[in-house]
Amino acid sequence: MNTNTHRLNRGQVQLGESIAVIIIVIILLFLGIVFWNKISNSNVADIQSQSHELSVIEIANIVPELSELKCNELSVNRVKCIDFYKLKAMSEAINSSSDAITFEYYHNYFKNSKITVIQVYPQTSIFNITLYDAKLKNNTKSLLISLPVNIKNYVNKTTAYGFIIVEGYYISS
Amino acid sequence: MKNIRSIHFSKENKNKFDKKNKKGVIEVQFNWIFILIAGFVIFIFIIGIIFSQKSNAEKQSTIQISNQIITLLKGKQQTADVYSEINFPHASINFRCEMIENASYFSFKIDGSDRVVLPTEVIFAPKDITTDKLIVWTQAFNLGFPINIFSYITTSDIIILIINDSNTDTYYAKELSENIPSNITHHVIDMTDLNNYVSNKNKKVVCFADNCNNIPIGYDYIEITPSSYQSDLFSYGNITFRKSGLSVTPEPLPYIAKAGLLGAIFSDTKDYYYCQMSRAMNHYEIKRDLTERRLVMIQNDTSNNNCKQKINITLVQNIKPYENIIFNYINITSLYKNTIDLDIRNSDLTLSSCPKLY
Repeated sequence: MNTNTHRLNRGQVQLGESIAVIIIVIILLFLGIVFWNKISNSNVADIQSQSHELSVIEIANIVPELSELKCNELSVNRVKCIDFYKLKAMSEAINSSSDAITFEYYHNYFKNSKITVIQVYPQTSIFNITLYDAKLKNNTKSLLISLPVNIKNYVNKTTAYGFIIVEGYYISS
Repeated sequence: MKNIRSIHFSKENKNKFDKKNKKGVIEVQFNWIFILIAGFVIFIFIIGIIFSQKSNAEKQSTIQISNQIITLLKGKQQTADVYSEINFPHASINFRCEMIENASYFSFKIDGSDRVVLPTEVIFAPKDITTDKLIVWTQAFNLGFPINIFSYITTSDIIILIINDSNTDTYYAKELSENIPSNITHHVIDMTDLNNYVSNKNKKVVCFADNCNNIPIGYDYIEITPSSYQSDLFSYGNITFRKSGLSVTPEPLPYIAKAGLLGAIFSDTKDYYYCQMSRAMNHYEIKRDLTERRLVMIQNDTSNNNCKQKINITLVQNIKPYENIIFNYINITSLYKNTIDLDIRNSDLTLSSCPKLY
């Protein structure tokens, strides 16, 4: 009877060993997957942050190149030039509550950003015009890029200096 | 007795041994079955991970191609008259422009990736392309003030065949050919040479007005009828997309400016061309509105009465009447003449030291 129990126990131990090995293998696999997931998630986060930065740079490059804003001059300048009246007209059209079509159209270019043009020189006529604002409030972070520009007023025939400030919003994860 | 006993004992032992041996066999078999099942489950699990990784990698690759194409197409939208080639892994691309309740939507899709909507880009292309190299060419679409940059997409195996019209003394074929980059395959051919291309499925036949009557049956072709206005091919006119096997003559569509005419040539169908031009007219309305707002502001701010008056005339005669214009022949005729007028007024304002219109 003792011998039988002893042999039965040995059989159970053998089965137990197999189960234990399999459980350990599964645990190792599981840990591997969790580790690999964490690494790939951090990669995704890096890629996301890179793409946010790139999209803000892209918007900042687009703004002074839009024919709706840029000065109508054949000469090539190192500093970008925008037409003051084009800027005012565009800002009025985009921010007009009765004209959603214009906002939607430029939303395709400017996405989730806020674009402001500030004139810093001459100091007697400093102004600040919000060209576009996607107005994202909750859970947003932003990246900021500013570009120097010449602002031409074709009525007064004056050139002022300022900055295009692009604030790119993105949902913080 | 001892012998009998020992025999008896050994028989008993043998039975016991057999019983235990069978138990052992069952245990060993059970272990093996257990290991096989567990191994199979782990094997399936690993294979599953490999396949999911493979499909993820494929998805990533198509998304990368898609992003690459979007970035390049958007980049092209900023500069006019640029020829370029986009190389990417072999893929099938579908361009779709559809009109839903008076609104038009443009999108493209690469096999295996999601459809990408391009709301601001106006791109004329074949409906379906399977290639590893896209040829992209851009042209500015200006109607006085700039409206958009049109992109034309083709592949190296698509041939544009322009039927020679030197017999009618118009020389439109030569003019059109000279305005298409040499890297885009196009030939000016005589009608009799058309049969040389009969087996080519990727040909686009373009002909001018009366010359088109002689095109043999069995060919799809684009018939261009330029207006008699200034005898300029790139002013405005009519375009008819003729399909072989259709007994009914399709309704012609208008075209305006060089960019518009090229748009028709690079489009596969009448509907696609109409849809893209309707989108371009929506963009026209946005730019017209901006120009109007700017001119009103300048008019209010300027102290020069001469400039004020000139700008006012422009607003009343050339800007405001073109609000929400629809894409049809009558409007296009008027719009083209207005474009010429705007250019003249712009030069006049410059000469009078007034701010320019655009």
